[in-house]
Amino acid sequence: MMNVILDYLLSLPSDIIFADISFTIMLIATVYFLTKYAKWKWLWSWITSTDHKKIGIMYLFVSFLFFIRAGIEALLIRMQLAFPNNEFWVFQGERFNQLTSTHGTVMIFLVATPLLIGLMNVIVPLQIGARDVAFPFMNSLSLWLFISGGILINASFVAGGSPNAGWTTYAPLASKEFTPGPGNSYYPIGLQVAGLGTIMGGINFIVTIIKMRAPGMRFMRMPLSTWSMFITSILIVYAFSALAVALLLLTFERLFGTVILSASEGNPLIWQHLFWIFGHPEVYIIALPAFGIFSDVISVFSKRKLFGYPSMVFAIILIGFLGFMVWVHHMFTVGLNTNITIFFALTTMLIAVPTGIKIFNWLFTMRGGRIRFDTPMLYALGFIFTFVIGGVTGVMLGTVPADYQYHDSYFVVAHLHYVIIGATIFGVFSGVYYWWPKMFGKKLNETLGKWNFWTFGIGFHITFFPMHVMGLMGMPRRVFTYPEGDGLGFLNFISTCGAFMMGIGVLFFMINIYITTRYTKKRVLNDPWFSRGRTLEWTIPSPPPAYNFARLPEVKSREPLWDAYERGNKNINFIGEYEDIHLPNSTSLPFFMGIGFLIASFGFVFEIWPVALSGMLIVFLMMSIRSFQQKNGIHLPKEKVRVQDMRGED
Amino acid sequence: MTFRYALFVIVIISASGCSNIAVLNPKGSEAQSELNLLYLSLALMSIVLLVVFTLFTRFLMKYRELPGQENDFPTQVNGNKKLEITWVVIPIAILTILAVPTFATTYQLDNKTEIVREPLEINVTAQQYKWKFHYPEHDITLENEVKLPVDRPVVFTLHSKDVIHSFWLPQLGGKKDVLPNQVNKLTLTPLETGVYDGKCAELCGANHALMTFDTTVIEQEAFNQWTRVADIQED
Ligand code: HEM
Ligand SMILES: [Cu+2]
Ligand SMILES: [Cu+2]
Repeated sequence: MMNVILDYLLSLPSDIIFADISFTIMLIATVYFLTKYAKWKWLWSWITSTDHKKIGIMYLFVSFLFFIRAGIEALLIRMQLAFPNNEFWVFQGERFNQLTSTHGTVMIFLVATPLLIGLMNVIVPLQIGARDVAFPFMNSLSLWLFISGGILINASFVAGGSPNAGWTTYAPLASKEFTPGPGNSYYPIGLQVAGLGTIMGGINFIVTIIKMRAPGMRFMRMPLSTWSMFITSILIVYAFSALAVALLLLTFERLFGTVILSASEGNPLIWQHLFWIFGHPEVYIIALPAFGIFSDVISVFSKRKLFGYPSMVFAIILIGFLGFMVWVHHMFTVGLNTNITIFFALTTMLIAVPTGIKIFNWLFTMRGGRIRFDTPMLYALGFIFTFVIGGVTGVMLGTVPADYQYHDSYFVVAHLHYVIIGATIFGVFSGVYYWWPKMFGKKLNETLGKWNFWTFGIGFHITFFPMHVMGLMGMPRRVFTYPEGDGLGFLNFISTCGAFMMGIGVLFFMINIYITTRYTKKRVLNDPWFSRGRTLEWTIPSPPPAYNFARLPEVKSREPLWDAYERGNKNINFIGEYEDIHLPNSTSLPFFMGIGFLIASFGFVFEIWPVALSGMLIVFLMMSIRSFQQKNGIHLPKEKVRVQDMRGED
Repeated sequence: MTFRYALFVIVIISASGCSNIAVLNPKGSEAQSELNLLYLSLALMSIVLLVVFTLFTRFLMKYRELPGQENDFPTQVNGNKKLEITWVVIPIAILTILAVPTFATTYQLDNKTEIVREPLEINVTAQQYKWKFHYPEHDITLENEVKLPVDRPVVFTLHSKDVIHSFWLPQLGGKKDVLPNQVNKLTLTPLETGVYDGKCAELCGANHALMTFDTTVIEQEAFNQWTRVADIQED
C-alpha cells in the first residue's frame, strides 16, 4: 500500500511534488505553533466571530495569502518568458496556460475583490457610526464562502489540474470537448461558491449603508470611502448575478452535456457577452473603493477638504452606471455589426470624462494644502501617476481600429496591470497603511513603508512599461515562448527583472508587519495621523471596542472631527446616555457551511455524486439549524460600557 | 516624476523610429490607417499627460508641509465651479476630436470587403494549431504559409474547425477572430513586398504560442507565375 502511494507521488511532475511538500511543511508548522502557544481557542474565536472588524481582517489576511501565491505564479511566468525560446522548469504549453489562468483568476477574484471587501468590512461601519453591519451572520457566511471557493481554485493544480483557458475561460475551449480534465470545472464551480458570498456581501453593505448611518450622517455627508463602497456594493449585486448565470451555463455544459455554449448547436459568444457584462463592471468594483480610499487619504494628508465633493460623488455614480454599458469593448474583434461596435466605443470614451473629473479634483485637493509624505499618501500619489498612464492607454484601446492591433497583445497586459495594480493594489496598500493603527493599535514602520513603496512602485513600472512596446512588436498575450531576434528578448528580460523588484517590495511589506507587531511598543490613541483626522473612525479608540461606538456620534457636517479640531476640541461630541448594547452571537454555522460547500464542490468537479450530495446535505443541515436557533445576541450592560468608555478617553 | 515622464516620451518617440516594432512599421494600407489613429490618440493623450503631470509636480513642490507648519489649519475650500466645468468640457472636446476619425475609420475598415474591387479571395481554416490557406480561384492549398501579391486587396474568409482563434498579421493590419460558428471576413492590402509574421492571438490551447504562419508578399507578376506552377503541381 505504501509503495503504491509512493510510486504515485514519484510519478508526479516535480513542481507538484514541490508544492505538495511545501504545503505539508506549512501545515505542520501551523499546527505546531498553534499547539505550542495554545492558540487553538483563540483561532476558533476568530473563525466563529461575527464582528465586522475581525471578519474584515480575516478577509485581508486570506486574500494576502492568495496574493503571495498568485504573485509567485507571476514570477514563474516571468521566468519562463525571460529569454526567447526559453524552457524554464515545466512551464511550457499546457502548464504555462495553467499558470496564467490561475494567476489571472486568483488575482481578480481572490485577491483584488476580497482585499477591498476586507477593507470595506473594517471601515464602512466605523465611518458611518454604526455598531456592526446589518447582517452579521451573513457577513461571516460571505467570508467562509469566499475561503471555500478560494481553496477550491487554489487546490486545483495539485488535485487534477488547474483551469487552463485563461481567466476569461472562453467557450468552446473551456468545454469538455477541448479540455476534458477537471481543470476547467474548478473554475465555474469554485467561482460560483465564492461569488455567492460576494453577492451576499454586496446586499449586506447596501442595507448597512442605507439603514445604519448615525443620526445626522446624511448621504451627502458620507466620507468618500463609504460612498464608493456603497456604489460598489450595488455593482456587485448586478454584475455578480450575471457572472453566476454564465458560470451556471458553463457548469451545465461541462457536467451535463448541454450545448448552449457549443459551436455546433449553441453559440460560444453567449459566454463572452455574459462574462463581460460581469467583467467590465468588475473592473470598477475593484477600482471604485480604491478611488474612495485615495479621496480620504489625499484629503487627510494634504490637510484639505476634498475638492468638489458633490462632483466626486456624481462621478462615482456615473462611472458605476456607464460601467455596465461598455462591455463590448472586449469584443471589438469578434466581428459584430459596426453600429454596435461604434456605440460601445462611444460609451467607452465617455467613461473617461468622470474619471478625469476625479483626477483633477484630487490634484486640486492638494493645492493650497500642507502635503505630507507618509506611506499612505505615497501610495496615493503613486496611484495618480500610474493610473493616469493606464487611463490614457484605456482611451487608446477604445479607438476601435487601433484596438484591432492592441487587442489580446501585451499592450493589453500592460494596460490592465497599470489600472488594476495602480488603482486596486496601490489602493489597498494605501488603505492598509492608513487604517492599520485603527485595526491593531500600532502604526506600521514608516521607514520600511517607504522602502516598500519605492521598490514595489519602481519595480512595477520596470515590469509593465516595456510590455506596451512588446505588444506593439506583435507579441500576443498568453504565449509561453517567442522567437529570437525581434528585440523582444531584451524587453522581456527587463520586465522579468522588474517583477523580482516588485517581489522584494512585497517582502518589505511582510517584514514591516512582522517588525511592527513584534517590536513596536507604542500604542496609538484615537487619531494617529497627527491629530488631523476628519472622519468618524478616528473618534474612537484604536482598536475600537467590539461595539465601536459607546454612545452615538454627533454628526453635523461632512468632516465632524476636523471641525472639532478647528474649534480647538480634542474630539467630537457624543450624544445620549449610555445604554445596554446589543451584540450578535458568535457562530460556527457559516464555517461548517463553507466546509459543506467545499466537499460538495469537489464532488461536482469530479462528478462523484454521493460526495456532492453529502456536501450539500451539510449545507442544508446548517441552514435548518440556523432556522430553529433561538440566539438573540448578547447584551452588554451599560455600566460596563461606561467604564470602558471612560478608560478609553485618557 | 518629470524625469519618468520624459523617459516615457523618449521611449515612445525613439520607438516610432524602430523598424522592429511591427505595428509602428506598417506594410499594408489597413495597418497604416490603424497606425494613424494610434498616433492621433497618442498625441491627444500626451496633452492630457502633460497637463496632469505638470499640475502634479507643481502642486507637490509648492504645497509640501514645511517644518513649523505641522500644527497649522490651512484654509478649506469646497470647490470651484468654473474649474470643475473646465475639466468636463475640455476632455469632451478632446474625445470628440478623437471620436470622429475613429468612427469613420471603423466604418471604412469593417465594410471594406464589400467595396474593394477584384480582390484576391483566400479561405482560411484555423485548427489547433495550424492555419490552412485555400485559394478557391486557383485551387491551391497552403499550410502555415500564405503568398500574397503586392498592391491587390485580399479578402480572407475566416473559419475555425474547433475553438476560437484570432488571425493577426501585425504589419498588414489588425486582427479578426476566427470563430467556429460564424464566418468572418478581413480585408488586407499589402503595399510592399517582403516576409511578415502572422500569428494566432486568441488562446486556443497548449500550443497557442506556436500557431504562427509566414506571409510572403511578392510582385503581382511573380504571384501569377506562382499560381500557375503551383496549380499544376497540385493536380
Ligand atoms: C507581481 C506582479 C505581477 C506580475 C509580474 C504579473 C505578470 C503578469 C503577466 C506577465 C501576465 C501575462 C501572462 C500572459 O498573457 O501570458 C499577467 C496576466 C494577468 N495578470 Fe498579472 N502580474 C502581476 C500582478 C497582478 C495583479 C496584482 C493582478 C490583479 C489584481 C493581475 C492580474 C492579471 C490578469 C487578470 C491577467 C490576465 C490573465 C489571463 O490572460 O488570463 N496581475 N500578469
Ligand atoms: Cu472593460
Ligand atoms: Cu491561438
